[in-house]
Order: sequence, then structure tokens, then C-alpha cells
Amino acid sequence: MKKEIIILVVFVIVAAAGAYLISKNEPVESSGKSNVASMGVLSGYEGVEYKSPTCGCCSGYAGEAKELGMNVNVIKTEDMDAIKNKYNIPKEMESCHTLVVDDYFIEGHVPFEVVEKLLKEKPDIDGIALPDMPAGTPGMPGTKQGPYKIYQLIDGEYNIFIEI
Amino acid sequence: MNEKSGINGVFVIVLIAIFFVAGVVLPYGNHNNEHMMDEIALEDMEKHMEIHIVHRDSMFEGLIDTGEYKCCLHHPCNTCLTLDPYHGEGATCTCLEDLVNGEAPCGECLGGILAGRGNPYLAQYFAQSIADEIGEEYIDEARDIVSAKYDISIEEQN
Repeated sequence: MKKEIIILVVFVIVAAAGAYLISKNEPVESSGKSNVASMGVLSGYEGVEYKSPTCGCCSGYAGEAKELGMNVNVIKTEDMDAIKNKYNIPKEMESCHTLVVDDYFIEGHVPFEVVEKLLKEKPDIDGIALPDMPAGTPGMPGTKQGPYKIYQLIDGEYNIFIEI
Repeated sequence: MNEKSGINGVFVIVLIAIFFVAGVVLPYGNHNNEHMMDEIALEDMEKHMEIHIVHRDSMFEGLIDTGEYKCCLHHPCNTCLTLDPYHGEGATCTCLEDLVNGEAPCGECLGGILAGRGNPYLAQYFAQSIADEIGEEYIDEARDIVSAKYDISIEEQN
């Protein structure tokens, strides 16, 4: 009888320890990223991301670019307006952060397969933009609610680059 | 003799179980901060505030850099840093996730959004999250407020 009690107590301790360790190692919930670019596709590219010091989703975007192989230098600045002005990004095309790669600017949470397309095809444009902060894009939580319209910009003028 | 050693064995195992549970549970409980309070006089509020701000900013920096503090205001509010669990566990913040999923963020975010201090790039999501808190019957009023505060048309909003 006493032996059974000992076994029971040991069993409870082991179960509690197991439950604790499992809960500790649970994977972090996905941010709903829509990124379908494969690992390493951005290897060899050097990027500079300009972001406000208080932007959490901008850190998420830089993190995902790094996971795909890009070497990203994150520069925190309170004056994001100066960055938008420097690259001639109109108000309606703006998002929270600006990534600069290979002389192109990539404004906002542009999915990385589109970034990959831009860097491979090297069109004669200044950059691309996905305005605002759509749900389900890299660095943003939530799920995709509709097609993403990514614009190409030349001298502050813009038209559709791709819709995905 | 055997019965006595059996009882001792059970006692030892129960003791180990208590220490184990204490080791897991106590770190998540309230910390005794009396030693911190001893260092500065209660009336020295400027010092308290200075320490609080340095501590707060340090927490912000660490959590934002790892993407664990995603607020929906232009300048993030403090609420989720101190309420646990709230919109996030520990000091983390999931208000942005709540917002884009059509759910209400924390109270300070809701107030900030209504006051025009929300992140303007998220304006399309504001009205739905306000309605989630105060009632779906107020969605039109919420859209009007958001439209007035954030330069976004009714049609562009969720």
C-alpha cells in the first residue's frame, strides 16, 4: 500500500515536471507571415532598415529578412519623415519602415517574394511600396484579408508593380 | 521499522514535490520590492519617476527589438508592460494582433485611438476594434470618428 503511494507521488512529480517543460518549449505563435520566399534567397544582399525606435512590427520585418539571408542593419530614427522625403515617397505610399537594398527602397511590409523579384529583375525604378500595414504581411500579425497591391515608384509617381 | 522508513520516504518525496512546485510557481508571483523602495525616500517623486522612466524605456527597447511589444499607438502605451496577463503575457503586448483581427486592444490603446494618437498606418482597423469593445451597433459612429481623426474615408475602413 505504502509502495503504491510512493509510486503515485513520484508519478505526479514526473508528470508535473513534464508538463512544465513542454509548456516552456511551446513554439511562439506564428505572426501570420505571408512570406513564401525560401530560406537563403536574400543571401548576399546588404540592407538598411530605417525604423522608429518604438516600432515592434518593423523589428519583425527586419528579423524575417535576416532569416532569409539578408544582412540587415537596423537604424532607429525619430525622424522618419526625413527618410520618406529623401526617397521621395508620397504620403499615400507610406508605411512604418523603409528598407534600402541595392539602391532600391522597399517601403513597408512588402512580401519577400516580391523583394526577390525586384532584386533579380532590377527594373529601372526607385523602389516599391506596400502602403500602410496590411495584416498577414511579413512582420505583421493577422491573416491576409485581400490581395496586396505593391506599387513601383519613379520620382514620386507610382503605379502597380504587382498584385499578389 | 519498514513501516517507519516507508513513511519517511513519502515525507521526503512530498517535500521534494513542494520545493518543485514552489520553484515553478514563485517566480511568476509578486516580487518583493521593499529593498528597492528603501533606496529612495517616498517623497522623492522626481527620483522615482526618473528610475521608472529608465526602467520602462529599457523594457521597451528589449521587447520592441525582439518584436514582442507590438502596440497600435503611434508612440506605444505602457499598459501591457505592467498588467499580466492582459493583452500579452509577462510584459509583452499583443494589441496590434488584436486590432488586425478585429478585436479590441487594451483600454489605453482604445483611448489613444479615439484621441487621434493611433498609428495612422493602421487606421483601417480602428473602427472595427472600437465596435468590438462598445458594441457592433456603434460601428458607423466609430467609422465617423476614425475618418475625422485619421484622414481615411469610410469606404477604406474595415
